[in-house]
Amino acid sequence: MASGRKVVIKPFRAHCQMDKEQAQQMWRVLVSAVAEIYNKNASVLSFEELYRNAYNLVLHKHGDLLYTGIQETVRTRLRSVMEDVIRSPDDQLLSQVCVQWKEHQVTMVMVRDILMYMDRTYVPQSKKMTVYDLGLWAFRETIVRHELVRERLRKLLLANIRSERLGQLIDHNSMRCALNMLTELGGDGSSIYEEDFELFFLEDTCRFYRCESRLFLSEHSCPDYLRKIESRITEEMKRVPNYLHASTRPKLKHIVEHELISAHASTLIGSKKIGFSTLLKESEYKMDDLRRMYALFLQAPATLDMLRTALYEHARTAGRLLIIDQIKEPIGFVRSLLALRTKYKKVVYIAFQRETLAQKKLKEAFDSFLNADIRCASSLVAYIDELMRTGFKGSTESEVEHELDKVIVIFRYLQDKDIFEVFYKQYLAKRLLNRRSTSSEAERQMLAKLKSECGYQYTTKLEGMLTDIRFSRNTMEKYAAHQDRLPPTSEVRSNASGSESDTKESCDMEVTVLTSGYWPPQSIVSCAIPSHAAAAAGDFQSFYLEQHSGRKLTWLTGSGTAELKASFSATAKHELNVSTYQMCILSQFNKLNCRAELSLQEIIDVTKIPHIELKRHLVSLCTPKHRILQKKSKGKGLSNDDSFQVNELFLSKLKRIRVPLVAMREITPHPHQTDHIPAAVQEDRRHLCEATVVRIMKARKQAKHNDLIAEVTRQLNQRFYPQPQSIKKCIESLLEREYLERSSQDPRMYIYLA
Amino acid sequence: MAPKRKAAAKPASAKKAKKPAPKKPASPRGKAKPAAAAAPTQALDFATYADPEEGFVTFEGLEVLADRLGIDASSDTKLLALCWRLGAEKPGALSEEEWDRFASSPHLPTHGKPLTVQTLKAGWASLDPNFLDNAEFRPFFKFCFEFNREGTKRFLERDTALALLPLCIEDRSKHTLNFLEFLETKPEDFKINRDQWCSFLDFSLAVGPAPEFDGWDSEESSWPILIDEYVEFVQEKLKET
Repeated sequence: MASGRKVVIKPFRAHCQMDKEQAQQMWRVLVSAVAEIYNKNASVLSFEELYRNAYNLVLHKHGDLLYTGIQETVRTRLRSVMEDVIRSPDDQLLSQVCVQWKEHQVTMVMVRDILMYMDRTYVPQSKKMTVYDLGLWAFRETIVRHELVRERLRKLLLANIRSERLGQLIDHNSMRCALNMLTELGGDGSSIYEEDFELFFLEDTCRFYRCESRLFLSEHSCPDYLRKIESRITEEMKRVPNYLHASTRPKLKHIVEHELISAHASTLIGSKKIGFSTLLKESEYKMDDLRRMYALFLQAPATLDMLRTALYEHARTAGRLLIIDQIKEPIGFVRSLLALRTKYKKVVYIAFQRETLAQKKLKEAFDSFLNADIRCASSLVAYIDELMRTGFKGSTESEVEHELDKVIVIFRYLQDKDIFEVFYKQYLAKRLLNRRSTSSEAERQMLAKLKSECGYQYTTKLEGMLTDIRFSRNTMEKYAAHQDRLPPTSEVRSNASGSESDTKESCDMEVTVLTSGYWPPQSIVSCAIPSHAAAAAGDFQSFYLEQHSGRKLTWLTGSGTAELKASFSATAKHELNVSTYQMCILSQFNKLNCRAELSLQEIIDVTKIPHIELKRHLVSLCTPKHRILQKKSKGKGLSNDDSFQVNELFLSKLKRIRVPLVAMREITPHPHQTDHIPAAVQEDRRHLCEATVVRIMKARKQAKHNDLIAEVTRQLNQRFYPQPQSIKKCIESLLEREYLERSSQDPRMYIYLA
Repeated sequence: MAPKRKAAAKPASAKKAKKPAPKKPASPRGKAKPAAAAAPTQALDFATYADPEEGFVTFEGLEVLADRLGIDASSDTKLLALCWRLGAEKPGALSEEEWDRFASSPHLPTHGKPLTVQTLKAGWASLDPNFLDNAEFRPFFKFCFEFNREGTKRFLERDTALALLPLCIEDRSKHTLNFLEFLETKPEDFKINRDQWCSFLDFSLAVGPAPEFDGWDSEESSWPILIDEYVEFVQEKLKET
């Protein structure tokens, strides 16, 4: 029932004043307590009592007394410790310091606990250090930074590290303890660890590795060096968790990388003592070393560029050498090229870990040397030719696929794809006409791949050629059916010993009809073919033109073969496989007697074969191996007044003889010997270039010179790389022909004239 | 109007204007020509000077006019300027229509005055192309090319150009001497087309003289290849000396 009377509770006021005497008394208690703590006798103390004492002191405004007192106590104590420490010899200094430090920590914790109230109230008010920090500071100043300790300690630490590097075991615990101590002693702005230790440590490390690496590298090979530094790096990195502070890690890493890797990067790459270049040469066996090298250089990224450049240089040089060495033998060249590529690809995949930049560099290297020499394009074509003729015999479809894929890989590198096309057309024509191709499936596959690389326009003509062959076969089937329906004509075999020929004779003929636009240009000089051949040709022609009226057929007598049944004597009967021209020549002898001679001039007059060709085909019939005709003049060549007769003594073991044509150097140099751009290609390029310029200008109406050049280059790049000078020539030609004009305000601007 | 350096001039086709043979030294006045002593009030009419067969005033007719004016037809560019102002469209020929512009064209000294040789002679100096600024000069320079072509051909022979170029361009180009030297290295049958001719002027105005060739950018040159070759020629020459 509290009504009108408030209950007030007053605080218990014990000794409201503490006088100096009492304070001192309390202090003394505390001092002796601290002494006990120092003597490791803390168990006899009552924490509660001591805390209370300290509490009271502070409460009664005797914080100053307490603070200065404890300060002095700590200092005194540490000074005596210091005396001990200084006196300890070197081999014990480290452990002494550690021991003292640990003790100090323990005692300070206890002291701090006792004086916690002061820490919380008095210290912030008077802006002084907390007890623990005070202890740290004192420890640092008194002991660690004592001139007789500081340097010695540091030297010891570094010496320890050094011995460990040289292979000796050291005490990690004391190391860790000492370094932790240094770390802890920091604060208030300065880092003891960094100033007193880390700085020197890094310098030392730097010096050590600089020395070691130089020495080692001069005495050992690079792979050995790489192995060594690999282990060194691992070792250094382990050092951090072992006893170093974590903050040292990046700095240490940087130094180590710099001294061990970057400083020697160029040596490692270029050295003859199995440097990078040498390793690349034997990359098959040295893949491990290469991989190690890449992994190490990866840690110092600036050096990686050097490595990649070295790879590029190496590949390019190897490629160039390969060209110089083997380009004369195209098939071997391409095979070696593929092997070279596989080798470097492996290096990039395994050693460079499939890095895209390295892949790019490799591509650049191949680009550069393959496009420096036109013969590479023609060699590739020759290689494909070889595959199609003989290489694919007995291969399965997937094997064919695989080979063609490799070919396409090389094709991609080529810049002048139009040159490739011209050569490919020539070789393809030869293959198709001479039936040398193993499988039309393989041909088709190749074209399909080319189409997917370059677009359908690139392969239309080539595909047209294949289609022609197929259609011709169909046509022949139809013709054969047509022939069967006709009344039988007497067929007389043509023979070389000259019997009377019937007027109504004919012979079997197989015709391949070529669409003129698709095939490489053939010479269309015709000769006078013998009557039976002419009759067969005529029959076919009328048949064909009935089916396809409006077309025009021209007989290409320069190509084609004939099979003649020849009786040289009663016993010597052979089948000769000869060219059309040779058939014309030989059938001239049919009309004559056995021993009759024909002069060169007579042969020319009757057969009307062009002179150069005639010589070539005639000589082929007079070679020692296939002496079907005997010529008057001695030696290999023909003289202008030469004459020929049938060689009655012709002998051969074979029943069917194929008469090869001698190569005449003047006629056509084999494509892969020329190292300049074929005239047809140049002409083609000029037309394309002009057409592109006109097309662009028509769309834009006007364009600046640079823009025009850039755009033309961009559009033509798929097919070939147009030189800016040649584009300029095309522009000038168009200016002259008034397709374009220069703007009168700005001579760099062209205007389209409609 | 285009004096040939070498006497062996190649007349192109049948309808050819006769060209004066070796180059006469340029001295417009003071030549004692009997024909010049003609009546000063001679009329400037088309019929007097036109070639009756062709119906045009050809080079022959112009030579007669030049004599009467007392100038050297082969070296006086004012004659060319005259033809230009008359708007001659066909090379080496002036039609009656064009001739009539003597009276109508404000650029000619005969504008609004009696159409006589005397009037023309009195105002002859006003035709000097040196009065034209660069912008006006360009069409004139182009005209020089056009007028001196042979028929419908689109080029000038090398020798024609060698004689004509220095005449026309006078001192507007610092490249003239070098360029002529360069042209002489070309074979005799070398031809200059319109683009190259006009570009020479533009080039002279845009690019400084050798050896610095200020304003010349070899990488991105849009000048005709002939000009590129010319610059290279001079640079090579300077390297050797």
